[in-house]
Amino acid sequence: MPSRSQIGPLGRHRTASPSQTEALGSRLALELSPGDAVLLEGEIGTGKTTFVRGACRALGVTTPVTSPTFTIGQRYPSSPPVAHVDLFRVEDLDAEDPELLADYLRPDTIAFVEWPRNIDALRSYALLVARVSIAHAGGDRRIVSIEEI
Amino acid sequence: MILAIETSCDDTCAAVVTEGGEILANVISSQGVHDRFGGVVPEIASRHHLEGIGSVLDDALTRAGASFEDLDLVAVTCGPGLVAALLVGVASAKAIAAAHRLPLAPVDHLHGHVAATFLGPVPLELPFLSLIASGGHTLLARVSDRGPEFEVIGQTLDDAAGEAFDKGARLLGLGYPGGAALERLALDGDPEAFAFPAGRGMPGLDFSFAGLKTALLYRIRDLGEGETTRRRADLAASYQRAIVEALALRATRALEQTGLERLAIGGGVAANGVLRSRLRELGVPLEVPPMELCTDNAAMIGSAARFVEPLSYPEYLDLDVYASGERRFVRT
Amino acid sequence: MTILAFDTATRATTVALSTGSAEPVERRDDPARGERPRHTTRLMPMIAELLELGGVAWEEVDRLAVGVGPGTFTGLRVGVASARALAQARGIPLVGVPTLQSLAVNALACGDRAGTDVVLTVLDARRGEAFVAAWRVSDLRGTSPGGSLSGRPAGAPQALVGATVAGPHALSEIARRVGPSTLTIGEGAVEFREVLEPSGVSVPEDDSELHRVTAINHCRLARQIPDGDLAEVRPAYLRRPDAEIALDK
Repeated sequence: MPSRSQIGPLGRHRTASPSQTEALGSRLALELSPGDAVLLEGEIGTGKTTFVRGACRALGVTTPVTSPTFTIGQRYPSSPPVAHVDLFRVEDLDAEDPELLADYLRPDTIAFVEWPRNIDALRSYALLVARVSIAHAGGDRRIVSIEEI
Repeated sequence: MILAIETSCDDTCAAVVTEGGEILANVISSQGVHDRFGGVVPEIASRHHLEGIGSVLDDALTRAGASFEDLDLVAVTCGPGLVAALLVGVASAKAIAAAHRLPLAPVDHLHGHVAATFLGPVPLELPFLSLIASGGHTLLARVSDRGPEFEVIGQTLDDAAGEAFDKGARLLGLGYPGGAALERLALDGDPEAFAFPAGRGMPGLDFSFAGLKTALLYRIRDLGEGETTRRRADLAASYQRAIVEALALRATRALEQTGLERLAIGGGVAANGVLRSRLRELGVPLEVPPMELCTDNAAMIGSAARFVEPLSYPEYLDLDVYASGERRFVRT
Repeated sequence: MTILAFDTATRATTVALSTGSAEPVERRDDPARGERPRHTTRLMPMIAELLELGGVAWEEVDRLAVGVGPGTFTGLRVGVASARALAQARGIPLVGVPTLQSLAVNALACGDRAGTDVVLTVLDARRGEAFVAAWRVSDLRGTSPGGSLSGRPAGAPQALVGATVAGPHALSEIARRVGPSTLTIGEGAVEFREVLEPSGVSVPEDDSELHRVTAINHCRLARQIPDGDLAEVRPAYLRRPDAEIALDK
C-alpha cells in the first residue's frame, strides 16, 4: 500500500498534562483521511485513550470517548466516522475471526488501534499511517513519539 | 412465560420468567476458561457460547417445568457486548421465536441490569437512582419508569469500574477476573495505607478511573519489587477503597442533585462487599439484588423484556446485534 | 421427505427447501466484492420466505441440514446456532453437511466433463490461506440426484484429500498430487488461480456457478447423513484459537 508523504506532528514530543496529550492527538487527527489507521503503544495508564480522545474531538466526536477494552471497539458516528479499537485482550489477531474488526477498520473510517501487537495482520484491514508510542515521564508528564510506518 | 437469552460476554445464560417478574429458572454457565488467558478472548468466548447454549436452554426449560409450547415471548440481549458472542444468542433466539411464531423482545444489556431490580416479590418503588458498574460499563441513571429509556445522568469518561479492578489486579500480579481476587487480597490490607485519587476534585456525576490506574502504577514503581510484594494487600485495599469512594461519591452527589430517595445497584462490581457496605451508609433505602442477578444473567433480560415493545413475527427475522453506542432496535 | 437446508460458511447465505421429489428451491444472498456478509440479517428472512413459498409448516419439515464449514467462524456460528435452535424448538432431526463436500457435488452438475476424475474444492480461509478438500468424482456419484443411492451405504464418500487449511505452497502441492484431470472449484479457487493453474489443475472462469456453495446440494447430501445428537453438529473450524495453542506449549 502507498504511504502518505507527510503527516503532521511527527517526532518526539513532551506533554505535561492530559490536555496537552489530547491536543497532540487533535493535531495528528487533522492530517488523517478515511481508511487511515493509527497504532498506539504504551503500557497501562500512559494515556493512549487520552490521545485518542483528543483526536476524536478534532474529528467532531462530542460524546464521551471511553475505553473500548470490553467490546474490542467503539465506533463514533462523526463525519468521517471514527473507530477506537483496543486489542488488549486479543493476544493474536490471527487467531480471531477476521470479522472481529470489520466494523471498525473500514475504508470510510479513521481508526485508532491500541495494543496493536500483530501489525502485519492489521495491514490487511487498513492503511497504517502512524505509530504513536507514549511513555511515562513522571507525574502527568509523557513522552509521545509519533512516527510513520 | 418469557424465555430469555444472554450471551454478551463470557457467561452463557438462559432464564424463564413470568410476566409478573417471578423467576422460574435462571441458568448461568460461566466459561471459566478465560482466567487462563488473562481476559475474555472473543473467539474462545464465542465458541463456548455455541457449545453451551443448547444445554443451557434445555436446563432452563426443565427447571421451569416448561416446554417451548408454553412460551409467550422470547427475549434476547442484542448489545452492547462482543459481537461474535451476541450473535450466538440472537441467532438462537430468532430461530426459537420463528419456529413457534412467537414475538421477540430485543433487550439492551444495560436495561437488563437496571431491570434486575424489578424482579422479586417487592420491586423497588419508582423513581430511584440506579448505579450500574461492571467490567464494561459504569453509569448512574434516573429510573422513572421500567422501560428502556432510563435517563443516564453520569457515566465513565474513560475506563469502567470493573476494568479498573481488572487492570489494577493485573498491575498487582493477580489473575483474571481481577475484581474478586483484588477484594480477597484487600481483606488483609489497610485501605488507608496509600492515598489514591478517588476523583473528589472532579465535579459532576461522571466517573474517571484512568488516573487511578496510573497512580497505582507509579506507586508500584516507587516501592520497587520487593516492597510492592510485601505491601500488596495494602495496595489492593487502598486501590479498592479509591474505586469504591469514587462510586459512592458520585452516587451521593446524584441523590442530592436529583432528590431521589432510593438507590439500586447492579453489575458485576455490585458484588463487591466493600461497595455494598459503603452504599448502605448513604442513608437511603438500598436495593441490592442477589449476587446472581448482579453479574450477567438472563433473568434480568427477561425482566427487562416485560417493559420493551416486542417485535412480532416476522419483524425480527433480520434483527442484528450491536457492539456499543446507541441502542438500535430498528431493523437494518 | 421435506428438507430445509442452509449454509453460512462462505460470504454467501444460501437456503434451500426440498419437498417430495421436486427439484429443491433456493434463496441466496451474495454480497458484492467489498461488502460484508449478511448471514445474521438474511438467513432467517430467507428461511421464512421459502417455507411460505412452498406452503410448508414447521410440522412438515422432516429434516434440517446446515453447512458446518470450514468457513468464516462468525458465519458458521450463525448457521449452526440457528439450525440447532430450530431443531431443538421443533424436535426436527438435524444433520451437519461438510460445506466442501456440498461444493464438490457441483462438479456432478456439469455432466461428464471430459477427463475430470477428481474435484478439488477450495474456499478462502483469509490470511493468505485456503480450506481445501478433494474427492474422486466416481466416489461422489452416489450423491448425485441421478446417481443410484440404493447401492451405497449411508455416510460420506471417502475424500481423496481430507479438509485442511493450506497456504499457497501447500495448495500447489495438493494440486500437483491430485493431477491434471482435476476440476478445481470454489471462491478460493478463483482467489488462488495463480497458484492452482500452474500446478496443472483447471479452474472454471471467475463467474462460473460451479464456484458457488449452494444449499441445494446440502438437501441432497442430507438424505445420506445419519442424524444424531444436536450438540454433535458443530462447526469445522479447522483452526484453533492461537491463544489456546500457545497455552498448550
